[in-house]
Amino acid sequence: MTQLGEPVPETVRQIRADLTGILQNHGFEVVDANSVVTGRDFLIKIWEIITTVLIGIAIVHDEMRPGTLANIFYELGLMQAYGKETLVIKTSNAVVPSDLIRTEYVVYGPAFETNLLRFLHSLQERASYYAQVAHLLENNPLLAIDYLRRSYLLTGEEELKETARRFYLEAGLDARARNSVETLLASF
Amino acid sequence: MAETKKKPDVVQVRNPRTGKYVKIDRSEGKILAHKKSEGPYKNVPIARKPGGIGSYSG
Repeated sequence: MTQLGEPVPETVRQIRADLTGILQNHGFEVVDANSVVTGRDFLIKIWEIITTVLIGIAIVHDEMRPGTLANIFYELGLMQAYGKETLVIKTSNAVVPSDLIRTEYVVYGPAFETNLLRFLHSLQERASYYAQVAHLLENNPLLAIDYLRRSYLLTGEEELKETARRFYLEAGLDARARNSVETLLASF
Repeated sequence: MAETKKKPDVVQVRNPRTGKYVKIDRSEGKILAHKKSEGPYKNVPIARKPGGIGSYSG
């Protein structure tokens, strides 16, 4: 999530290039609004990307226009509302809104790669935590399934889907309608 | 006749995102509290780590 329309500040180009290289070296596929062409409504495309990606990374720069920053933080907030992991990469002078003060950020500078890798490694630890909490909450199947989904979003482990399915069946939720909240939650 | 209450099955785990401990009631399937200060809750067992993702056995 960053400024894609011209004129893109040179630093943002550099951050994107460095970020893409690091992520691809670690097996991630990098997706932004320009990577997908749907021929349909642009905002719907943004929503679709947001719901399908594992992690949202926002790049903010102190020279970005207020409208661009508003779009970036809207998308970041939407990702957080979906329980997705997020990270802000900012230049040293860029200001993050106070509502996002608890959102992790990495300053683009000499330690950029080290800090980014630290974040990526922490995701594995978070995935394990989410899976552990899911099992501890097994007597509350919907909450447990939500934690399994969070872990799955970070790892793609098929076993997590199977566990969610088991929780769903054991709770007798399979009698619910196919479009019920319970069924939709368990069918990640 | 005295009423017997089932002892709650409460454990705690450390949230790696915040670094703080979270107290969970397993029998109710509820998150009870998030610790504000550092360190674990007193007299609450720490749930052991699963062997791998999705393989926690209780």
